[in-house]
Amino acid sequence: MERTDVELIAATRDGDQDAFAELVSRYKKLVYSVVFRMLGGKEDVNDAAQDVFLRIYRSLDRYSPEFKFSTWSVKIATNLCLDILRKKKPEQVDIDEVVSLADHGDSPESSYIKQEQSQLIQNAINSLPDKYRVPIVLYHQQELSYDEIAAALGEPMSIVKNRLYRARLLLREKLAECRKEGVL
Amino acid sequence: MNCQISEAYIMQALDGELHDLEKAKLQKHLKECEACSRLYADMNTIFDDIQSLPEIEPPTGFEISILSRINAEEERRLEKLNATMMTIYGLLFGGIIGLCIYFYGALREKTAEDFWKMTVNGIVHTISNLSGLYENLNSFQMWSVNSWLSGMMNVLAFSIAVMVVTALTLAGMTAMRRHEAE
Repeated sequence: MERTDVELIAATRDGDQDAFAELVSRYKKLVYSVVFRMLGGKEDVNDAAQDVFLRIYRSLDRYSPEFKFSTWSVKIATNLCLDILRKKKPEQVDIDEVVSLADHGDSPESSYIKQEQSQLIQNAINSLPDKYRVPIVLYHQQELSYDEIAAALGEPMSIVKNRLYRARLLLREKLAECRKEGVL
Repeated sequence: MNCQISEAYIMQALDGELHDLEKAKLQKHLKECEACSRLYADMNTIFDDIQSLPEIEPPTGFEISILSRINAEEERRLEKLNATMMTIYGLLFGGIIGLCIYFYGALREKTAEDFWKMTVNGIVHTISNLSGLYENLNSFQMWSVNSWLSGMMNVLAFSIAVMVVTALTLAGMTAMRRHEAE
């Protein structure tokens, strides 16, 4: 019979590494997607996603079952990505990078490029500068509230609201650009 | 309503913060303004689509990489722990030897008033006994050698006991960690 998350966590705490491997298998897509979107595909997503699970492993003692494991993992992934984005050098946005994302998938299972529309949107999101992409991802994909985003980013709510406002318009422009390039 | 206000209303609509009256005003404007109507439609499509973006599959071997990184980390932690324990036991061991020398010095002086003085005494007596033992191999004073020997035997016995306890504890801890890791 399949073990529940809580059972797997307890087993991991008792030193059962297979239990942790099972947890990773269950949530790897979720965590990887969060990391990919938060980092905009520009940093080393694979390394960062592995770091997330290492951090989860180390923090398992502090996990409390009142939260869903998925919610907790996403929170850890988000914080780790915010750390990475804070530490990195000021970015240069290069449209070539965005286009090359189409062949980002280095595994046969890169099913995320199945739908052209999803791919276009993903490319457009990735082409946004960090400060606009992050609110979009947090609000529209992870469905955090303005309050939660303001807390996570350490910015006042008015700034978060303004940035999301601007980000939505910018995303629409980028999407139009990406469509045009797709046609060309 | 102008297009600027309409844009703000569209954003509020995305946040689900638009009241009925404002909604009605917006709808009215959208019917009259093609640009805003396009913006509204685009926004709704984009943010509907964003929520249904497919999840991304990590590269193969993802779990294995994580487990091997965890194991490498555990290994490093274990080594660090062992090094720390070694240092602690080393200091303890040194302290005990020091104490033995002190007691030996105190024993020889038949007083224990000053720790450092007695420790120095202990060292001096040990060295002088050693050299005395060497110089007077033929005519050494029996009592001096005897008390030096008994002092040193105590130190030695103590040291061996500490070393055995150290080794056993370290071995036990390492075995327990290994067992946990497995």
